[in-house]
Order: sequence, then structure tokens, then C-alpha cells
Amino acid sequence: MTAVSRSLLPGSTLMLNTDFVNLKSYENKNADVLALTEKKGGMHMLYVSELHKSYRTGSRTYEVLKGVSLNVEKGEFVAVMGPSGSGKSTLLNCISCFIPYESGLITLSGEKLSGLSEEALAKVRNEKLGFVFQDFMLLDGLTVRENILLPRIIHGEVTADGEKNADRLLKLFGIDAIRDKYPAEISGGEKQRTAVARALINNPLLILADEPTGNLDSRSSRAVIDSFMEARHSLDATIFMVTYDSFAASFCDRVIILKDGTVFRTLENKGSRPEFQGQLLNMIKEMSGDDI
Amino acid sequence: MALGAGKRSLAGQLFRELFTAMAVPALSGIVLGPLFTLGIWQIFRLFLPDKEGTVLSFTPFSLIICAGFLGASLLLCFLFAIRFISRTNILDVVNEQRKSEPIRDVRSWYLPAGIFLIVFGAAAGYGHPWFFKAVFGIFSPVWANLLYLSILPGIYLIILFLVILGKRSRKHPYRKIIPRSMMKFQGRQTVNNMLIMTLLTARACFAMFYIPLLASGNFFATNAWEKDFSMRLRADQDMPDREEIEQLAEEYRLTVENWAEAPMIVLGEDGTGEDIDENGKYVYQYHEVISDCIAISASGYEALTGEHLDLSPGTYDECISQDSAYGPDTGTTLITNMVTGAALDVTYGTFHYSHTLSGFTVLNDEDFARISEGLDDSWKETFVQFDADDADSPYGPEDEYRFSQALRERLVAASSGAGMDSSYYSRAAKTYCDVHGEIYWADNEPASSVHFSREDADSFQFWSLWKYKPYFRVMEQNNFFMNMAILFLTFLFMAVICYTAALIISYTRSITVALSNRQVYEDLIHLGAGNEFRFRSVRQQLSKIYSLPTILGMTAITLFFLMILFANDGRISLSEGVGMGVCMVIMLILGAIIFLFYRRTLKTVCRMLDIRTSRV
Repeated sequence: MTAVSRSLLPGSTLMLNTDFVNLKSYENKNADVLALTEKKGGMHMLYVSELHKSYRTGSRTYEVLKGVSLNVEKGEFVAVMGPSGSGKSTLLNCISCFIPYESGLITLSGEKLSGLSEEALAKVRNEKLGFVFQDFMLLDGLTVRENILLPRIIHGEVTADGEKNADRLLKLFGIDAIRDKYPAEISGGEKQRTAVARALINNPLLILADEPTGNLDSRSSRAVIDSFMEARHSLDATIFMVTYDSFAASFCDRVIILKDGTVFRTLENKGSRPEFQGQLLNMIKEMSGDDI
Repeated sequence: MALGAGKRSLAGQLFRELFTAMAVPALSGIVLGPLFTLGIWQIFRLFLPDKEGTVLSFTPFSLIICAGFLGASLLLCFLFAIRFISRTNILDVVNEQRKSEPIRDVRSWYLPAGIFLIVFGAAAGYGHPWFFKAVFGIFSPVWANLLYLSILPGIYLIILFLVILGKRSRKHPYRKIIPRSMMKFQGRQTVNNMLIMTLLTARACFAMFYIPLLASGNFFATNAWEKDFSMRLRADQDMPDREEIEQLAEEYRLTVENWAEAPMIVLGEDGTGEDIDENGKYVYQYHEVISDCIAISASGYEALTGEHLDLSPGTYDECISQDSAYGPDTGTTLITNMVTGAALDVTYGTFHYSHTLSGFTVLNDEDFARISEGLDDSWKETFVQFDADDADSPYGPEDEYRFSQALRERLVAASSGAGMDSSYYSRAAKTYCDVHGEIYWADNEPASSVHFSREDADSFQFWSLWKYKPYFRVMEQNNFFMNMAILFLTFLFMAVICYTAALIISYTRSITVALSNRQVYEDLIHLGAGNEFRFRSVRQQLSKIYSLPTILGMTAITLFFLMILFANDGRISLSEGVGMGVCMVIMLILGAIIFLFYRRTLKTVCRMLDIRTSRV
């Protein structure tokens, strides 16, 4: 593990390595962030540093994220696993800027996301992020093809290239035959593949997937994971997935285990998929007493 | 129920909530209704000349009607509640909650088909009596009125088309696809609501249109009268002469001017009667005397109008009003002296426009003298018309109004017997039937509707139908609102209730749309939809809910009225045109109220969906 010490601000020290970044100070200007996140061969696609988030219920405060740091590189397929209450969903919501956080830093391809106006954030979500949700979030009144085009529609223009892109994605994910069907007329797997295609229509920098296989049977889950793999290989997509499913996570390059609001461990997929799934299951056992 | 609650406890809770939800608004309505009525009445009184003599009264019977309505509504609600509770299968209840009613397969032909059904329904519904008469020679059957019903599916198809399909821009085919898709998935309930809102709007306009159309008709008609005062004075009754009328005018500081009078006679005229036999078939029968013919001589016509007529013997001219929906009577061939039985063959010459002489027949002087021979005074009258100058009166029109009241009372007091007949009771036809042993049709009518007494003198019916009703411009104009008060109040109530109902349905439907789509709007935020995009989407949906029924309802009823007005006499007269113009202004005002309501609803919905915008 290579550690680099670098001067950041007067009196602060930055520790960089290939797995995570410890940031001592959170008061960086954007230019500093770009410099900080720069590494050999380019910059991180997603960079999260010392993220703190807590919820207040009455007079009590619950700290959900206690200084989470991680990064995802371009073209990587990374999963986050962890038991209930470990902060997985909160982390995803912070990354997609749905909820504010107390401290820490999140950058997407070098761009700091905090401090953006609401309309600017909407633009980031629309153009730079792609979302895949557990309950698909397809619009019932739109056909499969129209649902795929939805981010383009929200963007304000559906060009001929956009339509061609939608048709290409329909073919890529094997849902071309159901292009004119409504969500109520297709299976759960087909819905989620439609959602994956929708997430890719704007060629986003990062796809955020929240339990994408949570509502699916094993066969449909496999089809959705295949879609992610296809997106990664054919489109060089970067995917950040929150999941409970060790089978789905075993297809990833890396799996970050969250526990009690901190990064408990990071596992890299260096062998075969079944071996990696075995490692994940062992890790789950190691977190004894936890119900992952 | 899914968590184990018993049906009995749920039923009790449901019934209590239903009772509260129904009874509280109903009881509030019963209490506030009379106050609301009083408010409208106070506004109405501003237009009444006789504020003291016209009072609004409440009857306890109205409370019985309200209680009956409340009871029936509660009964229906409870029946539906019992039916709902009696469902034993919990899955049915759950599925009922989840049931969505998507509308699919809306075709492009829905719009033309909808327009066709509306046009067909309106034309067939209104024109079926003519069709059955012309083609089959029968009286139109009652069921033919059901042809109007095709308007409903017509409006439904148009709403479906405009809500779901609409006009897609070729350049931006996806521009409104999201709000349209949401409305599509709101299901048939939205379209059903919009259909009801369209009908309520149309019904409200239908009620409102009567007032300006009648008012403009009255205004134009009375202003077109050639003289301020005109009346028929029977020769057999103690009617006031010129001297008495001038003296009466002086009492009110008025000067009688432009006095003109001419002798008139009442004859019998022939014609073909139209009747319906027991099979509903039209039967036509010629009668030597079918109705009264009120005749004046050419010189009498000249005395009244200043216009000289050269009528050849055996020729008659007709006087008609310019606003008359009917043309001149050209079919008379025989006129009869009902005392001597002497008859005169006549042919139609031409017609002359005159509002005060409308319906009178003008005869050559020699013919008039010859056919008058032997008539007793009961068939003779004098037609009098004059103006009143109020230059010397400090009260002007008020004195003129009081004079007209006094003169009217004098005329009523002098009238009796045949002088109190209804305008559609023909003494000539009655006499002819008596002589020939036939039964005159009007004798089968209730006597109170064809023969009035002095006690009826203040009734609306008497003033509308009295054969010898004098035409006093100042009285006609001032009494118009009072005479029509009940009619206007009814129409006003109908309009207010219909519009209020339409607004309430619009509001609740808009809120339902917002609540149903709350999740979709949250999903759209994930997909990058900003405030502006979501605001546009909400606005497009709500504007359709408000604007479509308003535009459709108002357009449909405007076209329907124009059709009726045109079908009456093949033209739109000036007074009708002005009346419709006033209706347009009313529609603009109502449209503005609806727009304000829409803006308010839009603001509420944006707040509910957490859409932050400065545009509402």
C-alpha cells in the first residue's frame, strides 16, 4: 500500500492511497479539490472523503455516517454492502445530493457537488448521474422506449442521436421487442433492464444503483447484473451499487463493507466470481452478530 | 381489516365518519342557504322599481325539501358503505385501492368523431320535430329527445383526445409527454370528472344566457316602439277618451303629445289548422274562421303611422315587428264579419314594419267600411298611441312611470267579460264553433288560463297574456326585472350552484392528481427534473383540468344558443346579437374567476409537491 503525504493547507496533511483518502480539512476551494483528487493517470470519478451525516429525532442525534471515505475510478463496478443501519442508503442519498451532510467532501469527476444551487444539482443528476432504483421508478404512462428517453425529455430535447442511442440500448439489453409496451405489461427483470438503459441514455459519468436486484428473483437479478456488465464493457460505464445481495456484489471489481457508519473493509475481486462470493460470505460471517 | 380489526368496529367508525362528512356540510348549507338567498335578493332589489311591494318570503316547506335531500344522500352513502364493508375478501379491498384505470388506445379519430357526435346530437335533438313532421308526417316521439344524449359521448371523446393524445408537435413530440402520461394513468376518473365539469359549465351558461338575451330583447323591443304609449280600447266598455287621458297626464305633470288614433275591428279569418290525431299523425283541416283578424283601414294606418298606402280592393297588408321570429300571415283568403256573417275574399298584398301595430291587418278603406257594417260595439275598438313629455315634471321618468300605472289601473278597472280574455282566446273562432255546434279547443283549457279577472291584475300571467295589455314603454322597461324576478332568480341560482360545483370538482381533482403523482414527482427529482420542469408539468395538468371543461362547456352552449336563435327565424337579430355579446362578457368574467381559482389551486399543489417557484 503506497502512502503519500502532501501539504494541503497550512497545518493540514493529506494521506492518499489507492483505496481511500483521509482528509484533515474540509474547507477546500474547488481548485484545491481538483488538485487533491488528481492522481496518477487522471482523477477519481467519484471521491468521497470524511463524510459525516447525522439525523436528529427529538432531542437525540444519531450519527449515521462517521467519516466515510472512498473513491471509484472510471469504468469500475463497485458495490457497497453492510448490515441494516450501516448507512448504505444514506451514503447513496448524500452522493446523489438528495440529503445534506454536515461535513466531508464529495466530488464527481473533480467537480464539488456541495454548494450547488438546486437547479444546478438537478442538471448534475440529469446529465452526469444515472439512477437505478430497487422499485424501478418507471413512469406507468410511458412505454419502455419513452421511459428510456425520460432523462433526455427532462433535459429538454430529444435529438435524433438521442433516439438512436435509445434504440441501441434497447437492443443492447435485449428489450427491443417490448419497446412499445407499458411497465405494467412487462416483467420485473425487464423493468430493471429498462431502468438500466434509462440510466445510461445521457452517457452519465456515474451510475448509482440502489438495491437494483432487491425486488427480483434470481433469474431476473442475473439479467440485471448482466446488463450492468454489458454497460461496463460496451459503454465503459462506471457503476456504484448499494446491495444486500452477495451474488450481485460478487460481479463487482470491489466491494466496500460499511459497518456502523464507517468503512469496515474493502474487498477486491482478484479471482473467480464464485471465489469472490465466498470471500464476501466469509466477511459476512466475520461480522458476527450482524444481520447483513 | 388486514391487521385483524373486526367488520363491526370498522363499520361503526366508517358510519360515524360518513355521517359527519355528510351532515355537517348539509346542515351548514341549510343554515347558510337562506342567507345566501337573501344576499342575492338584496342585489336583485337594486333593479326593482317597486321595492316595497315586492318581498322575498321563506316557506318552511323549503326546509322539508332540504331535509329530504339530506336524508336521501345519507341513505345512498350508507348503502354504499354497507356494500363496501360486506366484502369479506380482504384482497378485493386491497386491489380496489390499488386499481388504476389507465386509458390506452386513444385514436386520432376521437376528435372528429367527438365533434360529429356533438353536432349530430345538438342538431338531431333540436331538429327532430321538424324531421318527423316533414318526413313521416307525425308528431315527434318522446324518445327522440334522447338524440341529445349523443352529445355526451361526443364531449367524452374530445376530452379523451385532448387530455391523452392532444396535438403532438412534430418538432417536439416529447414536449408534453410526461404530464400527458400522468393524466393518462389517472385513469377514466379524471376524464369522467372533466365531462361532469363540462356539463356543469354548460348548464350554468345555459342558465346565465337567458337573462341577457331576454333583457336585450326587451330593451330593443321597447325602444323600437313608435310611441311611448299604445293601447287597444274596446268600444263596448267605459274606456278613457283623449280628454281623460290628457287630464290624467296633467296630474303627473306630463303633456300628451303626438296623439294618434284609428278605429279597429275584430273579424274572423280563415286558415288551415294543424292538429295531431290519436296516432300522433299531423292532421290538417281548413276552417272558415280559425282566429281573430284585427283589422284597420288604410286611412287609419296612415293616421297612426303617417304612411299612405294604396291598397286595391280585396287585398290586405300585414304589419309585423322587425324582431318578429315569424313572417307575415300570407295565407288568409277569407275574412268574416262575425255578427252578420258577411265574408270578403282577400289576397295577401305585402307587409309593413311596425312594432306597435304588429299582427294587425290593413284593409282597403272601402273593404274596411263594407265588412264593418252590422258589427256591434263588442267587435269594435279604437287603437290609441301617444308620447308623454315630462319636461315640466321635476321627477321626469318617475312621474311617467306613475302615470302609466294609473292609466293601467284605469284600463283594468274598465275591462270585464271578453275584455279580460287571454291573447290566445279567439272570440271569432269561439263564435264560429258555437254557431256550427263545435267545441272550441280553448274552452277545454282551464278557465283561469284563458279568462282573467281583476284579481289577477297583478299576476305575471295576466300581464304576459292579457289580450288588451297596453304597451307603456316606461312601465315595460321598469317592470321587466320584477316580472321576470322569479325566472331570473331561478336561473341565477342554477348558474351559481353549477359553477360552484364545477369549481369544487376542479379543485378536488387537481389535488387528487397532485397526491397521486407525488411519488412520480419525487422520482423525477432523482432523474434530474428541476423545479421549473416539475412546475411546467403540474401546470400543464392543472390547466387542462380547469381550461378544457370551461372552454368546451362555454363553446358548446354558445354554439347551441346560436343554433337556436338562428333556427327561430333564419337570422341572428340585432337584439340577439347584442344579447350574445353580453353573454360573451359574462363568460369572460366567469373565465377570469375560474382562472383565479386555478392559480390558487396551482399554488396549493406546488406547495404540496414541494415545487419551489416564484411563478405562482
